[in-house]
Amino acid sequence: MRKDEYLKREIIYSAIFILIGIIALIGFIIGFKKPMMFGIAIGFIPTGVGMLLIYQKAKKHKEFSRNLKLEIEERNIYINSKAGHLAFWVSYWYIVIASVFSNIINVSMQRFTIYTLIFMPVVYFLFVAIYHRKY
Amino acid sequence: MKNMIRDLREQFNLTQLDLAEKVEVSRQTIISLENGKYNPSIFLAYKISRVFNLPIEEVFIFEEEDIR
Repeated sequence: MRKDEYLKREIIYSAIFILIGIIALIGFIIGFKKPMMFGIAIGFIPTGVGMLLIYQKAKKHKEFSRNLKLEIEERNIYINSKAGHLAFWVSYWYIVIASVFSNIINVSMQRFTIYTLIFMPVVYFLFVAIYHRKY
Repeated sequence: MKNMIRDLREQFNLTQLDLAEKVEVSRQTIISLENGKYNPSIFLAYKISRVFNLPIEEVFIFEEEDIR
């Protein structure tokens, strides 16, 4: 992937993050599920703004640009793809096992989704670390 | 797949970082290539071969096991 395409894609992702955050903020202001909307807004807006600033800066600064090139170099892409693939299947089997044992394990849907949201990135970054050692 | 990167790099008096910068990858990638842990794409193999002014097959040595 070329650097310009990558930058463009990341800037679009940042804008989507900010948009979701703004929608949640509006939800909070009008009083719709206030605690949840507040949490989403607090999470998405700073992340989106931070990403946007970094990638805008990367367009102009040589050092940032160099780091970006290394970020999208082929070995990193290879490792991230391989880790993503394996993390997907581990998460899939985690959900299958959770559904099979749903009668025995007494966990609310809300808690289960929170656990899943924590579990998935942990598994992904664990595989990224393992593959960085392997390759 | 075996490769001659380490030998050639030393012949050309290049550090791992020099070579990494020439082919626009990280030093870690050069280390992985030299240790035979990672096989490069055809594009990276071509870039590396060009640094040493050699054809790809003289830098990267294919073995029967690689094909299977």
